[in-house]
Amino acid sequence: MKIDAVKTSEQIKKKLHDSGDLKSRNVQFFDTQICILYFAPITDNELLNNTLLYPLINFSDEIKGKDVVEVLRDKVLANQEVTLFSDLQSAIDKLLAGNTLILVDKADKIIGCDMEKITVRAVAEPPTSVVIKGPREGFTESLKFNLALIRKRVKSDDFVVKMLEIGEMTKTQVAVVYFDSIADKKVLNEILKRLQSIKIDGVLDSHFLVAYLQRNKKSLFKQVGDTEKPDILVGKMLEGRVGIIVDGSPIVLTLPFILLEDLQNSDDYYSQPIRVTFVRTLRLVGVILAVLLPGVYIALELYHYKILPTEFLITIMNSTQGIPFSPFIEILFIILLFEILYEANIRMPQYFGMAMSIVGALILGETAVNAGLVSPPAVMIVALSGITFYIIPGQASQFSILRLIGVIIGASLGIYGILLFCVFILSYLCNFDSYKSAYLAPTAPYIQDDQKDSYMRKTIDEMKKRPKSIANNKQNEIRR
Amino acid sequence: MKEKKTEIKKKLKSIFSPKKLVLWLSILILIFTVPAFNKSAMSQTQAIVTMLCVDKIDDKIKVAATVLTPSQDKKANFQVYSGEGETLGYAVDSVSLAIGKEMGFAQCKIMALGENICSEGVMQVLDYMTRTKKVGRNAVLVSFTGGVVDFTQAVANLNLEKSLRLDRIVSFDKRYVLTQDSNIETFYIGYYSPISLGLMSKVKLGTSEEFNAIEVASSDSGSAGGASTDMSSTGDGGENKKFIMNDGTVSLFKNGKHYIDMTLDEVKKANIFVNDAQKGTVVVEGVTDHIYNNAKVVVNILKKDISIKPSFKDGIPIYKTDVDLTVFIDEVIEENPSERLLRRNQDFLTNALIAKIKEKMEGDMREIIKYCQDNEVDLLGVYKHFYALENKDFEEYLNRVGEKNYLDGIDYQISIKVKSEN
Amino acid sequence: MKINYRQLSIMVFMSFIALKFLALPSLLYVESKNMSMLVALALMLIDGIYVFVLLDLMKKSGEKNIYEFMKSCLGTVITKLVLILLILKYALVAGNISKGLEFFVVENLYTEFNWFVFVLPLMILVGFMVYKGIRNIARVGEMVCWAIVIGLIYIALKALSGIDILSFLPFFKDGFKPLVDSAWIHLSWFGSATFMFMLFGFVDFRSEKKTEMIKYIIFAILIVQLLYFVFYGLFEVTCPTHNYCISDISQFSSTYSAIDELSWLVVSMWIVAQAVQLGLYGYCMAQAIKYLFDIKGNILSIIIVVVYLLAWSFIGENTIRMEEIFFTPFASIVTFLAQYILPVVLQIAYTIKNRKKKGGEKVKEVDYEREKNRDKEEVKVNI
Repeated sequence: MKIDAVKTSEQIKKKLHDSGDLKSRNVQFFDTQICILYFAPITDNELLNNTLLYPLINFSDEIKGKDVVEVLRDKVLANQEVTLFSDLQSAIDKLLAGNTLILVDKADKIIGCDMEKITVRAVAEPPTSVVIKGPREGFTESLKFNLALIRKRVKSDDFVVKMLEIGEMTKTQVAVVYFDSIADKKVLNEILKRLQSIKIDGVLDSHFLVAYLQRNKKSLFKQVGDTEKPDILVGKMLEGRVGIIVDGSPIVLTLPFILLEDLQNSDDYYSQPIRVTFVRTLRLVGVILAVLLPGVYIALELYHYKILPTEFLITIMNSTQGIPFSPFIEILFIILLFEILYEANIRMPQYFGMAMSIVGALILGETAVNAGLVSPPAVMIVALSGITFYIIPGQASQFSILRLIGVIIGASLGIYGILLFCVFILSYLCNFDSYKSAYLAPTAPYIQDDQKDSYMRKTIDEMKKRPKSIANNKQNEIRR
Repeated sequence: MKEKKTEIKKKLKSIFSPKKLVLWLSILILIFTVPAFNKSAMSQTQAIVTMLCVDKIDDKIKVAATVLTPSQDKKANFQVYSGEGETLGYAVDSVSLAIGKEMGFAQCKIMALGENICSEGVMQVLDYMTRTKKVGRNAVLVSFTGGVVDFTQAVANLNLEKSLRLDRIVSFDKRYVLTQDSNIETFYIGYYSPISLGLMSKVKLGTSEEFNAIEVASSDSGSAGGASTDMSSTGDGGENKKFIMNDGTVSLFKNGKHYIDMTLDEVKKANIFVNDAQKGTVVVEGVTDHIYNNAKVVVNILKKDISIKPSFKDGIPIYKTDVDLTVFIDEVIEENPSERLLRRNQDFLTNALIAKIKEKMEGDMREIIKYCQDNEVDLLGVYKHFYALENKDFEEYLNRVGEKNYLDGIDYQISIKVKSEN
Repeated sequence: MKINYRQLSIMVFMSFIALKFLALPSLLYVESKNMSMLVALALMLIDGIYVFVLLDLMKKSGEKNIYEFMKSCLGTVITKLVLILLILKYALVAGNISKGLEFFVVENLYTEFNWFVFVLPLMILVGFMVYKGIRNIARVGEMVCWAIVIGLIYIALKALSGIDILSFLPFFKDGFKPLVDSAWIHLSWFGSATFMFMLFGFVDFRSEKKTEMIKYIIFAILIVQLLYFVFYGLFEVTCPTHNYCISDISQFSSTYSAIDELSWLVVSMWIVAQAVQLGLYGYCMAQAIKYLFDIKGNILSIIIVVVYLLAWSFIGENTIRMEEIFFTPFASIVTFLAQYILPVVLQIAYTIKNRKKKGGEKVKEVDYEREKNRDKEEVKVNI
């Protein structure tokens, strides 16, 4: 089928509802009419001029008897990526993705040139994972750029990028990245299968995919890892994980995920092992404090005064005297206050947020205590627990819910209830395996070899084997 | 049948369907949670007792308790309340009624027993308090002289104004003067042992004149507390101020009844036999040799190693005690101290001094053995040692002489070695 | 849903110490006085030997569960009778743990306590753990085990200085009879390996390390002996008046507070350990019920277990004391048959059956050594 350049261009315009940003330009190439179509906002003008328009206009060789499309492709277009489309729809798809279409009169193919304008913000240190020592590069919203950041670190033929397109409307590019000889094939296939089966209008961020990748959709607990840093992603891939990069999102998802990952920090690998062991233990204690402290406090107040040393009991008695609310309501009130302040703080513009945190923390807290609405120990306990959340920022949202449950149980059943709650959570998480990896590994099940990088950390040269806690290719367990 | 089964299955499935389970769980959580909204802190609903004093006066049990009371004024944190009744239970209840709160004894660190109740027998009181009222068995147990409320108030004042605590004062003793911890558990162990001997610290109550300078007391005892009855006796004016004093006296209890009091001096002598009481001093007089000239020397015991070897020879029990002492010379008192005492690098632990120390200590030990024999109290653990190490012979011996006089027929051999710190 | 050898060893360890630190030491003291430690030692050693007898049987059973294995050795009728015996044993232990936990919590943590309200969350937890299966219980045990061990050692060491060695002397003053009597009366507190019957076919031996089980058993015995040593050395003649070994030791060794703060953590960990043990014995009971009545699915057997435990809490509260049942010859006989006779009978039956088949086909045993080498890696990760 031969095409009529002008008519087809009109046809495409119509199909795209005469979109205002769709530009076209008709050029006479010898005796052939050529129509160029492109979306102005996503097309690199410089590239368009230099690689298409200038060569096209200045071309003076003899073309008689030659196929114009071939001449254009081979002799005129100074572009890296030139594609020929036989059907209109795929050409339109490419046009939407940033290609410039060249419609040649009486030709049977449409030429597509990649002239996508990549608008990226500068590579900056991601706010969610700041490091003291170590690389500061973070992913951006551009998939190509992100892949470039990874490629810069990985010069191996083993590194594989599998491209997918997800989203009926957005047709978002999704890259599944992994090391072929390290990743577990079953896990990889399962991830690909799940991604390919996604039926959704649009994928605006990588978190849109999380629900499709989780085994237990309604669970409170995080089941998919994420990172904003290429060094972390490569580190995780070297352990056998698979990364999922979504165009338009600086957050890269990683699978399989185990709880220990959030206890680890990229800084850990750039610091002294003894210090790291100490810090990781601190993080673990922090988790326990963050989740249980308010619950235990309320339990002690309501049920177990006999556990408290007398002097401490007197201090609490003196400071809680005259508070109009019951201890349970008091703690709930402070937690609510804290959560409101938190929400307001992170959503507010930075310059205003600073003032807000001072108002919230100092004035509100102080006034509430002075007014006798809440007691100082309760404020201190909730504040301490609130601060401790952010020792492990990756789990903060889960912890705040668990803390609330802990408070309710502590107030209803006391320490005994909290202990049962802990066993329940442990029991729940012990069975929370996904993608062939146990959630609480390498503690339960205990994996001796992986203790080198769990709560304690040994030096890099001592970690000769890849972790067994997560599913990876067992034939390739030695780190080369 | 099959239809019924499927029906039951369907019903079960509907009951345990995820949606309904959420409903059930929500109801359950509500059942647990709703009461918590109105629940006050336990420290407000219970009268938290930190010390309880019990005595018997005119056939009635009288109790006084120090109750923790919330107050911004820290001096008002310990309030004393008292009550009386036919039995201990009634007496405690009467205090409860006066305060309008249940009494909570979980924080009760001290149980003090008056002279009258001690001489009548303390086991029932202890049993009631530990079993029914849940007083911890590690609560310090003391006997006291004086009025119940006065004593309680004086101890409360110690807490308030001097930051001193009776339980710590008494426990501190154990390194120096007491033969063992003075708490309910150790008293039980002593009581249930074959010799049925219990020990308790004795704390006295008196006025400043009575105690002269060695008192541990508050200067303004009347300011604190809201005792219901006998408050006045602690004195508002200063004349009647009552103080407590721990002079190291230990009350001995036989079969749960007060038997005899040991003075500090006697306790110290008994302590020579006890490994736990590591500290102590020995004062010897009239030491004369190339260094000392009729000197009075105070020797500090730094370390004590006691080994007791019970044995039988020709049917006679031998209780051999080897004492190894490491000492340090604390003070030397001479009329005209010579320059020799100031010389460096000189061993001041001379043979003459060692001989004096040995003589003094052996004398002390003999005295305490005599004290035990005279009073028929086995303070030194003679029974326990023979029973454990020479069981058969000892049982034969007991059959021969009887349980009462077994201390008399024993040959006590004492060997003391003294060495200096270096 | 199999568990690995290490997890099995830890479960044996926890089962060995589970019932030992509440009322048992004071009960033993009544008959065997200062020689009580020896009674516990002897019975625990015997239990230890039986662990290996059962391990051997487990290996022989291969992939078969206990029901299939017993049916092939003893026939259906006897198998069902044996299952009833095992259910009784598990019911006794689960009941005792539940009651022990109740009294322990009431005495040590609360001044006002409504057990009827408090038992419901416990049952929800037990039901959940049993539902999630043996791998779940094994993993939870694996997580809490070391915290409990550290706690127990802390409590023991803290109180060690107050011990009077003389209270353990003289040895065997009244001969061996009181010790044998005591062992028989309190036999039902032992028999700690009986839970292993329900793990037939659920253990993956490919990760087996020969000495691991021995280490855990010796460790359990040493810990129990250490705490008993401290308990008897501290309390001497007053031992029979102490019902809660752990909390009483920690209380006694702290002078200035009811129980010091760290000891409260230990007491809390002990409650956790008891809850896990209740889960384990609940699971065993549910499995045995499932086999006995040929129930498909888990829900019904779990409901039976939970209802039984609830019934204990509600009925047993006023009418029957669990300990009284535990003291009866009935309980001792059940334990004796389940723990000490049954494994021997099964061994004999298996041998006879194998002999009969000689010349013909032999019952297939799994060659774990070969399996171990074949796919060693997968086990380590997936269990």
